[in-house]
Amino acid sequence: MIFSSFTFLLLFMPCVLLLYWVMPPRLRMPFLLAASLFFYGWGNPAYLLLILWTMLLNWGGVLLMTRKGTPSRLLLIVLLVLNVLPLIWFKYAGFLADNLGRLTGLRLVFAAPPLPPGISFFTFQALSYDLDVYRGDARPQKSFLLFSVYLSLFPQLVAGPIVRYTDLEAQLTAPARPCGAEMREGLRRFCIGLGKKVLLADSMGRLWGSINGNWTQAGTLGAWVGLLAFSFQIFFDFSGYSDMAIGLCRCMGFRIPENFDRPYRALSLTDFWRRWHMTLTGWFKAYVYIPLGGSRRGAVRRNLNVLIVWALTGLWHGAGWHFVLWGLYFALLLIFEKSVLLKSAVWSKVPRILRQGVTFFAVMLGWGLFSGFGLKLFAALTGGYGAASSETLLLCAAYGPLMMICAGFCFLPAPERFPLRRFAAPLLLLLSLAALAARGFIPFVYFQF
Amino acid sequence: MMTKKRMSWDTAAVLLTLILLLAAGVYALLWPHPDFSDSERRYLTEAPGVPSLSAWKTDQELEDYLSDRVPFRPVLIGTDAVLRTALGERTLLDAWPAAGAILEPPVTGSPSAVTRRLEQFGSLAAALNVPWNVLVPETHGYLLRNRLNALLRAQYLTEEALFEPLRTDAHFLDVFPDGTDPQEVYYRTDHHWTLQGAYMAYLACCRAGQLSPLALDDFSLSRYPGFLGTTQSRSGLPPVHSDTLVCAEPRAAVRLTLPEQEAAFDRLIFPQRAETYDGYAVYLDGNHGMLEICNDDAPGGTLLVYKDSFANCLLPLLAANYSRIVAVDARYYAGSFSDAAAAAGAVDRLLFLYSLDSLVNDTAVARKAGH
Repeated sequence: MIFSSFTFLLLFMPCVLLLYWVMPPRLRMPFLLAASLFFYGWGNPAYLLLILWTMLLNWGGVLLMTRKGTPSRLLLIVLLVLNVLPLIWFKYAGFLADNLGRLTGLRLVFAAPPLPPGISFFTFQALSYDLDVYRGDARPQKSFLLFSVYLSLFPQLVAGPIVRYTDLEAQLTAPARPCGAEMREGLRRFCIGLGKKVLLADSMGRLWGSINGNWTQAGTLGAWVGLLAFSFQIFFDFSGYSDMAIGLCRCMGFRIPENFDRPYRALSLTDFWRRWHMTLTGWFKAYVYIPLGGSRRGAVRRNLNVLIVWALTGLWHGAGWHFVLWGLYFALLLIFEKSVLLKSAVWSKVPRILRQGVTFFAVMLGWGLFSGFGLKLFAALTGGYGAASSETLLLCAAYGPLMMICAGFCFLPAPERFPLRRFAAPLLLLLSLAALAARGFIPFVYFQF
Repeated sequence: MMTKKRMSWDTAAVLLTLILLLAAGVYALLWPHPDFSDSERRYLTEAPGVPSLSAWKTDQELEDYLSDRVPFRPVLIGTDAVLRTALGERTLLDAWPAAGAILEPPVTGSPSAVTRRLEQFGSLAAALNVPWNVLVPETHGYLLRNRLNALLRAQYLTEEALFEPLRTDAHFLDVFPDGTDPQEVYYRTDHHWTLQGAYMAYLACCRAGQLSPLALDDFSLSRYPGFLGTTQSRSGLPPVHSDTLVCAEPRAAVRLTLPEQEAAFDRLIFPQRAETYDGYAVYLDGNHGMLEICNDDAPGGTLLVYKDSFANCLLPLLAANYSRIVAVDARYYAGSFSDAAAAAGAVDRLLFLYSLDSLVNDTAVARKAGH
């Protein structure tokens, strides 16, 4: 089920929130689990087997791992492998077979199954639980119900934020009763996220969709405008989803971590990755980068660790060389930044707006790699398909004002006070419903990861 | 005290919002709705079937069902269209508000399709051994081009390439002379001709057929205000202006026969249809696969017209000059153009009358004209 669908907005969300509030506290967790499973199984009930397997595996596996007091390393490895196997099967098997076939010359035919929504997200949450318990950062959860709620909490189940078990442990054990102000703030945050998704991201997605199929018509201007639109789309889409997830959790009395902090205002790529998909970068830092030695073992080892982490980050996003290339692109830029740029006195004296612009430009080119259009896109960007057709000019002109609005939200500082704040959420909800009725919805970009 | 009061307001506001959303959902899901939307001129999505695990598609089916029946859907669609127009996105709507009218987007396609159609029309006429003409009016947007901004004008100028093969063909009837006022010959809310536009086409047809045209005053005229046409509904915009349908039919006694429906009428204008969502159906009671108009007092012979809806307001005018008109609409007629010609019997002249879009892009015309 998708947040920006009528099924969710008019039926599922109000039903679940209203029932959750009127329900006796002891019934809330079972209800939340049932609602989350219904939410997940709505698109394809067969996937329920997968998430139930993940729940049972990690709940039972961790109890088994810690039954003798000291966690068993062997069992941890078994648990990690069993967690990662479904991810490899669903997400990477086709990619691996394809590349193995190319290397060996064998004809390996593998019909990749459809990717279960959110598999990368809930697998990473399960891994974080296993590792946190193994490292002694969290206690094993004895209640299957509470563990299952942690793993399947519907607001963040399919596209994050990736919530570490330690973030929710106390809230699951003693859930807070949502008060009026929390509920209002939660709903307000949800509406803001919905507006970002439906009014901005989907429009930018339509512009990008009109351009990326026809580079000859798009020309250089269209390619640059399209790439800018894709950069806006991916931000508003994903941060909108995170806002909705955070808002829904808040409506039910849960606090989950923030995932974005105005990333396009970053002054360097290091800064950007502290602000973009913060829960994923935090996950890789905690469970890969630091265990590999982080920056404690010299510059060469640090650079190698950065390369490993970013190659994995690329692969996490999808099974394709363009994702790996995208990860390595950032790895190299980050290494250069840490080794040279941020150490030089010159960079810090460069005007803020220029640093922001250079950072955004590097990120935008990265999205070009990420998009998977590869050489055709870069040929169009560099003039390989001519300037632009009149249709493209008209398209760019039509989307111009909306792109300015997107740019304002992305690049300008947040106002200290927003005079119409009280009316923003209902207005966004109304306009989003209007856009959904008129144009339908576009699935979230991050659902494919 | 204040905090407590404040909190209760917050709770009430949130609860009210959720209850309203749920009420809208329940209304969309359970309340009986008509199968057809007048405002959008289309059939609504059917109720989702019983789900099966092997082919689970409840998600999209229910979504479409709810979306079609969400309360105040026309208002929501209108709100979205107004917002997009205000943001400069009007050219992304299905029909564009520009220069005081709502226009269809420019017709795109290949000039070779026009050439192919002309060959097909010529072959049919040669087989029947009768004189023929083709009439394709310039679009409203093209006529208005000089009142549009440069980007929009460039879009409509691309239609010139499609007219090129027509203008070099001796059978083409050019309806609108230079300087024609687009506002006079096209409705503001619809893509069809006004009576004035149809009358100019009538004059062109009479010239080609060497017939004496009647003055407009010689026809029986009727007026139907409050007409909101197709481009209005396609744009989704709330109606600001409406048009007045002005209809003409011969004063002489005429007979309209619809062979497929086995129906006959003694009139060409159907006033009751002006009250419906499709006001343009006031002409000839709408679109039909085949129709026949007879006027025993008319001096001309039999005219066979292959047409789309553009001809509906022209045929009542031509009925004053032809004793028999047979009209075939490929979108609704099951057979080929040759079948229609055989069914029409002896004819004296052929007229192919299509909008530019139908001529270039209508697959039914392309397919059936070839046989």
